[in-house]
Amino acid sequence: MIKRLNDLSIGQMIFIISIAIVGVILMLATVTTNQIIFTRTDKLIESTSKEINKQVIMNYENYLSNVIDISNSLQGYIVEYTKENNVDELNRLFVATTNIEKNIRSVALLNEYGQVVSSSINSGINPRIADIDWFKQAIQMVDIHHFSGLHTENIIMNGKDEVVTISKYVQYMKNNETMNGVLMIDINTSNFKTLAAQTNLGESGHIIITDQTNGLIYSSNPECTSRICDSAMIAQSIVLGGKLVSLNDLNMYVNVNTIKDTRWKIATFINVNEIVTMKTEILVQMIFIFLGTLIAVAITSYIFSRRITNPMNKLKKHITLIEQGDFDTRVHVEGQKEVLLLADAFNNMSDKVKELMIKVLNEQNEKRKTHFIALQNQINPHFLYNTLDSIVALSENNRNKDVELAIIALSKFFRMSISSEMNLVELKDEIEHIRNYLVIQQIRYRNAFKFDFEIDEEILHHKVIKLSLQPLVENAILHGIQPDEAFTTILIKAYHKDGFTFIEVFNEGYGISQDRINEIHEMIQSEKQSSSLGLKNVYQRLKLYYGDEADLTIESELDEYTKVIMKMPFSTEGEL
Amino acid sequence: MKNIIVLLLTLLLSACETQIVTVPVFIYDNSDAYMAEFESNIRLAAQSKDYLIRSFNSQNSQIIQNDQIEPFMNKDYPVLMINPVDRLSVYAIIEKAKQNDSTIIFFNREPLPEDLALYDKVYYVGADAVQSAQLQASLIMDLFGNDPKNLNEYDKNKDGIIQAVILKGEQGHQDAEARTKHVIETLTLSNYKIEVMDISSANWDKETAQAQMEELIPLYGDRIEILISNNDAMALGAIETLKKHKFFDDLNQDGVIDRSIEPWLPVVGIDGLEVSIESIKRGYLYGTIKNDSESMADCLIQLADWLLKGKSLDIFPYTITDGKYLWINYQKLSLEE
Repeated sequence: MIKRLNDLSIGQMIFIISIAIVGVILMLATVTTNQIIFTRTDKLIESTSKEINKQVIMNYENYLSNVIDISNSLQGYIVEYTKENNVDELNRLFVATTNIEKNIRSVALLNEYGQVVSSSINSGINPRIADIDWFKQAIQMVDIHHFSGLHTENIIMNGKDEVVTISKYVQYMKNNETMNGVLMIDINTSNFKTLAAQTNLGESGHIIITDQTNGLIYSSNPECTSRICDSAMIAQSIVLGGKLVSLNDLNMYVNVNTIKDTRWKIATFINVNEIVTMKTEILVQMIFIFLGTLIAVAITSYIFSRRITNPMNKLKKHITLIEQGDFDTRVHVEGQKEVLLLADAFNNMSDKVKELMIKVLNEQNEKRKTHFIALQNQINPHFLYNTLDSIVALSENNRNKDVELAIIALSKFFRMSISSEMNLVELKDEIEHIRNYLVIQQIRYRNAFKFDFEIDEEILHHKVIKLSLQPLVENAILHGIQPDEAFTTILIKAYHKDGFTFIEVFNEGYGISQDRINEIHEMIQSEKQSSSLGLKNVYQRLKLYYGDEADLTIESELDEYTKVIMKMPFSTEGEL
Repeated sequence: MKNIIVLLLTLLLSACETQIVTVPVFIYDNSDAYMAEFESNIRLAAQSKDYLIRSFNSQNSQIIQNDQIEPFMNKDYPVLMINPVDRLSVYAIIEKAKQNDSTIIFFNREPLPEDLALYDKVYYVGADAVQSAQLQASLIMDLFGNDPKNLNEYDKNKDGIIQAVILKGEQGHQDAEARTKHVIETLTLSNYKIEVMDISSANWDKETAQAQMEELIPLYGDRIEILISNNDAMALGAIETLKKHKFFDDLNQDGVIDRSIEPWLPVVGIDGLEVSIESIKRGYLYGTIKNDSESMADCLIQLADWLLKGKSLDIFPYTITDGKYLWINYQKLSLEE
């Protein structure tokens, strides 16, 4: 996992992390907010619907319990009046009842065979009442009021109006005997229907009333005409309580409840489509906001990461250029402070590298050149002619031994000069070289000088610059030999002190004035190229190989001596 | 990490499992003194059981009761006790219980037999209204000497017929009808001659009975040999009015009526309320039939306990009739009893 993360670019990381963080937070926020809104609206829908349902039921219960109350008091009067055989009084009471209570269409007391004992209607009574359900039910179950469904009036013949019949078993007196009978009350259904219309159930909202066997009593929905209509089926499945359902693509909150004393159930279908649709709209909006924010974050993080990675990619390309040797191109980036600083530093670095490279290159050139000059100095043809002349002279004088010595020395001298080692040699080799040189020069100058070495044994293996001693010794011979004096001494000392190797070339002679020394110092230190002076070449090579620590100084006392001192840092090996 | 989650879940589940079962009790109306007493008897009886009782006052509204019942129709509540507001609406509750496989014990208001037949996990704990009327008739027979051919001194006009006025409960109410019908029927079947001079409905209510009595006294007055009331509240209300008209008269001011020397009219009720027992003790109310809410509560609580534990009801201490009915006997209460 970590490895895979490491494989990603900074830009991808920033992108993924910001999307992940914002995505998770947004998701949580969206889900919780939705949860809260949904629960709240659900509760609101439920409580509002229940309240409406209660209201509808109360309307029906009030309406129907009023009829039950009337029936109960009529039953009291029935016993009272029939005891007195006062059927006329009962008729008048029934008629009065229908007059006072406009919902009541007719009242009748029937004997157990369905024949009218007393009635508010005076003609056209149906003789076949005993077969009708509401009559049979009242006889079967004596202690409750029976509520029929909506039907065309059947107490009279050829009734056309729609009524609900309430029937109840009663006892009445006939000639001091207790008789079984049925009290029936027909109520108009117009009020029944207006009660449903009174409540605002929303568009397509409706009520349905069913009996205890789920038979349809009444539906305010014209499309629902039987017990198998959708509304009735839904009400039947709920049994009791509330539920959100979808009916004909509308969201309805259904409450099923019982109507007291009737054995009826009432289901109110309340249109809550708007609220439910609102819920969906909120959800859609939330999702849009969620996606929008996510996209915005994605774009922002992409741009932001580009501001970091773009300059980095530029730098990377630039590094490739540098690898290929192009130091001159500058990086120009736009971006944050750190990136700009990085680019600046990078440009500076590339400048510095270029500078250093040029310097190193120059130094290499310089080394090659000075070495070449040194070499040139060594194999100066005059030196060779002169030496050969001297050897010829020795030969003429039959100084064969000396000839041999001179030729060996010369041979060694040149071998060393042109040896493959370019720059540094061990001190003992350099000393050997100088010795050969001095031998040759002694022969040439007919022993006009003596020479001696004082070499610290410990430093014989120290590295020194090749061919550096010869120019000094050459000078010493040149300035040390005086025509009048037979012998001058050249002393070559090598020792080490304070981490430096010192080589001194000393010669007796008239010495050099301090002014002249200063002049020479100035000359050898000056930048101006001059091939003429061996000292300068030595000085330059010292500086090139060892840097500022190395030095070449001249000491002199007039008419006494001249001493050239070469100082270089201690080193035993390696090529600088 | 996974182990911790599993552990937590197990703890959570076991915590749920050990949760004490709650049995909700729905009372039709707590402002009914009898039902309030009933409820406290239920609580008392439940104290020894390892389930909780949570009771609801349905405020005499079936809509409220339906609403209250709905949240308890799930597997967390295997047993519900319901004292229905409208006994005719009970079929809907039974169907709902059937849908949710809940067991329901109805009490004190008897659902229709056809409704109880809808589902096998319903029970009814209650007293038989007919029995209360029969016992009330028996109390009356006791008063008149238990010999229908030879009524004692309480047959004031010596005509061998009991002149009675009946205070009926709510007109059309099942219990009112049953009590009225059967008290007369029992006396008649026992060969007593009874003349019901008036049946007056006072809606179960003390104040209504008090007012009703004001109208009945001028009509029947001294002719009344017994006042039969469908319940105690109306009986006590009637006694108030009778006292006013000196049918009861504490001549010696000792706070007690001695029926042998002081004016007294036999009034008989049903229910066995505390105040009725007090009235009997003070010599006013002749007698009452105790609707034994203590035994009913005990029966309810035990039945719920057995059902929750899944015990077979074959050896249940109370007799179960037709697999559904648990009838609790009424008791006669009078000075003699």
